[in-house]
Amino acid sequence: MRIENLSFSYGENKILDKISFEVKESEMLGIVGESGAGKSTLLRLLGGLIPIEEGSISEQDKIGIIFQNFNLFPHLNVLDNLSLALKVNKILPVMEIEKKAEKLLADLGILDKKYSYVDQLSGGEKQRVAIARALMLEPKILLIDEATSNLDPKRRDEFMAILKELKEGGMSIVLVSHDHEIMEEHSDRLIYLEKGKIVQTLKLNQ
Amino acid sequence: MMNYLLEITPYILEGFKMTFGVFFITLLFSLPLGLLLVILSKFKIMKPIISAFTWLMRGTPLILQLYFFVFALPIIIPGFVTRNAFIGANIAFILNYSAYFTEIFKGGLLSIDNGQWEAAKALDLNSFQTSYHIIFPQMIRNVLYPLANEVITLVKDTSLITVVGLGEIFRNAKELLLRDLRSESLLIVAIIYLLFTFVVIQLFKQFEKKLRLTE
Repeated sequence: MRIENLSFSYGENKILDKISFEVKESEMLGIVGESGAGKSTLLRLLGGLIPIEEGSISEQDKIGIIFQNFNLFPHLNVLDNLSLALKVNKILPVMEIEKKAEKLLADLGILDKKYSYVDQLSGGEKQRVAIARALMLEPKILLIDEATSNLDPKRRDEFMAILKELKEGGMSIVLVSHDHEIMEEHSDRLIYLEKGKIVQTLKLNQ
Repeated sequence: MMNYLLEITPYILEGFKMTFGVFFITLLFSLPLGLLLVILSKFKIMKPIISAFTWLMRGTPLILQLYFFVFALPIIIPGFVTRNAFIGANIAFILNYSAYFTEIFKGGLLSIDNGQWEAAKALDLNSFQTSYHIIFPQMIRNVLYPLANEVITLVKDTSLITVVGLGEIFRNAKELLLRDLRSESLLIVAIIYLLFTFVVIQLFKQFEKKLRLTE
């Protein structure tokens, strides 16, 4: 995915100013910046949640998003959270959709929670459900907003291990966070965002 | 005393058809109308019109609206359907309650996080699919408590139609009170209202269970 000269303004406020970078196949790309640097706007543009005003994003690949507070659907159980979109859009037969959902839940170790509702899950479990839900649509790129901010260190390491596995399976992961240290520890490449501009790109040892 | 109660109860209950009729017809039309108004208020041009409507209906007494639709409108527009007091009373109730329901639904929508829309969009759901599968069910859950309150109020508000001459349970009880100068009829009518609201509360409890609001 190539991003070229992407700009975005909110009224007079320039949130993003001519941003260009590339998301390579099977890499863990970190985007770091203080709050107000334009991170979440960038993530929303990449994910197609808000329309592009200026610049371009080459978009051949399916994109999945994991939101900061997960945005799971509280009125549905875990299985329905995963299945709803595919069922509504009739992408697969219902039986296959449920099989697929159950396999993902099993892979993430939360199959026993499939009939639980969101308010019955712990933070770590919610995050796994959010990952599973995003993976249902088989994205090539996974965007993750402030993924680690809600987790204790143990859960964070578990979460990063899951992401690493996905990456090794060929997926590109874009992590957006304000936390330099964690991002430096886990990313292959790191982009520093300041006041809507890229101020530095770092290639890190793997 | 027992004989007297047995004598007056059937007469008071005769009015229940009227009480229940207004209650049922009001709900039948004002709930969908309230929902429709909330959906329409998403459109910029409609917003001030709907705000003005809810202000007018919530800002004036229901009893005034009853007088207007039953007595005043047939004078202003000769031959207006509300020569029939039952229809006029129902129009007043439906408009009044749809204004309250609109505001309740609005509150239910406002309390849904914008992130739900974003999450649905990220999963390739269009706005109709999102409204139907994600937003609407959550809104219903959010409004169940205030809605139950409003429906209970409606049960009791039906007694207002007595002022436009419709024979519902309260009017029948009042007639007995004045005729016999005995107060038992008020006790009977109170019990009928209590039983009616009890059934309404039980029905809402069933909804709550169905919508998994109580563990």
